[in-house]
Amino acid sequence: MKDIFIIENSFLIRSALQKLISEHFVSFQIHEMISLKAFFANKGKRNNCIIVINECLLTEKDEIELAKFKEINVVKISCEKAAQMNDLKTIFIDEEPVTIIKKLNNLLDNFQKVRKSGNEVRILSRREEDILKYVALGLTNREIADKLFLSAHTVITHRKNISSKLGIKTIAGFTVYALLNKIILPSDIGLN
Amino acid sequence: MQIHRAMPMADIIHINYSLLQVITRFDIRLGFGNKTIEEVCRGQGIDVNFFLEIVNSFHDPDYFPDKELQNFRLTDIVNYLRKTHQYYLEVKIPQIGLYIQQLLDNSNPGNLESLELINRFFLDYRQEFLTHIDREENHVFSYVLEVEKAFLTKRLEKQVAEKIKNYSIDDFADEHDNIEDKLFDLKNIIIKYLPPVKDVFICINILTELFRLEKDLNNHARIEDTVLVPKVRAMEKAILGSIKRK
Ligand SMILES: [Fe+2]
Ligand SMILES: [Fe+2]
Repeated sequence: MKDIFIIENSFLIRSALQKLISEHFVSFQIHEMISLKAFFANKGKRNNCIIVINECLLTEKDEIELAKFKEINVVKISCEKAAQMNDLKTIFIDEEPVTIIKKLNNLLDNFQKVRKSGNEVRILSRREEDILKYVALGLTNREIADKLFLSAHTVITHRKNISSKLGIKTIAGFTVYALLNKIILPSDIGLN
Repeated sequence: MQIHRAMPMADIIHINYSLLQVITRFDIRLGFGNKTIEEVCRGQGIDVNFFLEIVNSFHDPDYFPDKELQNFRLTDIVNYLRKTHQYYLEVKIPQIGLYIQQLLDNSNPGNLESLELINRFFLDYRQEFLTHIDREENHVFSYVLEVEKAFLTKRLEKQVAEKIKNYSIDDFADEHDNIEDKLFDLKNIIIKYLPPVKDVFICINILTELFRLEKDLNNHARIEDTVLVPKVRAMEKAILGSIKRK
């Protein structure tokens, strides 16, 4: 996710937010818009993004529409005073920059956590994982080759790649990695 | 930068404070004022060439041993290696073990299983480590000292020649196994794959110790392989040669 949409019809608010966000979230691409219409028209970039939108520009119908997209996070801009409103998902017009940044940061953190648990980034390919499993179970290269219908040479190449991808050199290390990631179970190697 | 004999001992500590561990293995105590390396070594009865070899190879992993400086005694090398072993066994390994125990004490139901795996890995490693050191202490070093004695005194050469035929230093070099790799793995498992733990400072302590131990061990193994082994090999050759000539 690399996109933040600022949807706000006041030029002053919009450009101030643009400046603040671009200074603190350097790796994000910021898009400025004056209504949600432009957002819906922008095909392709609508999943995995953050929308910072003036609450006056957001109808209930829009919210239902937005909920259909994957992993969109909405932050509202409110023209009310922030007094006593402890709302992490709303930016108030009289808030200090540090508070605004804190809210956006918090949102990003949660967002990344949700993504991780849903769709963990895989380090190893399917095939490499199969090979790792047999290595962790203590099979020799020859035995692994026979099981997976590969040449011993191919198994060795895979093992080298697995080792450099994981940063692990020993069989005991592979076994711990496989157990931590539930590629094998403790009972498979006679533990517990 | 190479460390040389005319440098003040205090300076090399400022350059690289990990050398503190190393000078301790020579029984050098702090408080050396402005004395140079040579002066401190002379006062302690330490072979300064040997001392320089050790600190230089520790300070710079690419340091290439200077052939001219290699006429020191095997006894010195063995003493240094023994001191190092002692330091691992009495200080380093227990320290890491303690931190890992702290990690377990701080576990929660979510990470207990993972932490127990780390503990098991460490305990297996410790066992391997003890076996490795035990073999060197109780077989290799005594053999090495016997070879040196026969070489220097020209006595008992026949008996030693028999031993050489049975087990030479090359046999040791061949089976000298690498005990740094598992340490490297343990580091990476904690850095990259361990689920979050409550007290991150325990992990930092463990990692700091593992990095230090790994560096120390790499240096230690390099001295065994590139300083000890070639010297013993040359002596073995000389002893076998002199037997033939007789
Ligand atoms: Fe050793
Ligand atoms: Fe060793």
